[in-house]
Amino acid sequence: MALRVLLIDDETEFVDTLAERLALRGYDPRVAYSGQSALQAVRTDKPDVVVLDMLMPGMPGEETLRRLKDIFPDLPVIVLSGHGVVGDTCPMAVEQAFACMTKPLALKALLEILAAATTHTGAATANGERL
Amino acid sequence: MNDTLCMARLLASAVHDMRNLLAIVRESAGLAQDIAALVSKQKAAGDGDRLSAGNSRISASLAEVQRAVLQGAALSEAMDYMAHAGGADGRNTAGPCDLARACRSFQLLAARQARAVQIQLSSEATAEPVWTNAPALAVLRSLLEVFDLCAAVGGQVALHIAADRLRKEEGIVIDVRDGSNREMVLAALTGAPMLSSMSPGWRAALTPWRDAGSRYFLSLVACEADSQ
Repeated sequence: MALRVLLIDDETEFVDTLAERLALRGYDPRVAYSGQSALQAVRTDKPDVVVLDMLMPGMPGEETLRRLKDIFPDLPVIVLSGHGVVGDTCPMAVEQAFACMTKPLALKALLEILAAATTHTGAATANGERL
Repeated sequence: MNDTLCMARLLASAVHDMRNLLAIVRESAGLAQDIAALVSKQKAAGDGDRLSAGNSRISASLAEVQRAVLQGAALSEAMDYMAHAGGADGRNTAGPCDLARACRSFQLLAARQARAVQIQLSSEATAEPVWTNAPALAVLRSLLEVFDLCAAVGGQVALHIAADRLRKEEGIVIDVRDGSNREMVLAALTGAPMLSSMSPGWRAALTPWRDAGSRYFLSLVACEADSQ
């Protein structure tokens, strides 16, 4: 069964394209364009891994992370930032996140972290690479 | 707010946007490569329908790259404008300043900050120049103060900024066009006629624009340095 990855980011062009690339590699990506919609989504369809942008309009990334962890304490969350080093601006995020990455991210690095997150939780792996 | 803080905030906002644009370029170009690889396999297998869909998707991805690059170029120009307004080229920063260009640059630089507080910020893309003697960096700082007034009461509003003249005085029209928090923002702008920060010898004031209820005129006037 394909790894379910929830991508949370208000930059729709970026997150839709990333989802498409992950799908081509056998992952099962879902997208949410806000923290609020992401929290609604996880309640009905729990992902295996989350990729979360820290700076979004409405509910900030930090609060989204905190609430995700309240619902699913063991859910690996990879935090993403376009705002320099995540640890400088969001120390709480560094503590609670599985990994921190900055934009523009390298897909190869993300895939390695997704694989590590899979091993960490024992979740289903990607259903083989098509590329 | 001083010049350094103004530049730092606008630069942070612009850099954040630039990273996002680079991320879009990287992913879109990467997707084009992914699909090109698939298309090669489909071509070898003689799958005409998927070949056509793949080529269309490549074309769309590359169009996305071009769009992001153009946006990045505009943002770079705005950053360069601010750098030179701050004296990066060693020239005198006292003025004059084209308010239309200042508005366009501010809109690009502050876009990310604006989205964070759900302010939809717009300006005229191809406005005629409106020259004033006020220094450009002081103009940017005043706009940032107006922005802060709107953000402090919750944002969630559409703001349009445009250079104009009121009774032969050059300034910037701030138009609060729409949004769920429009009334709060209008109240905040009405209650703050004198902005706090301008360079010595310059004063920024916000007054209702003619008789229109949702528009304000940001005027930038010379004054005696001692009166600040």
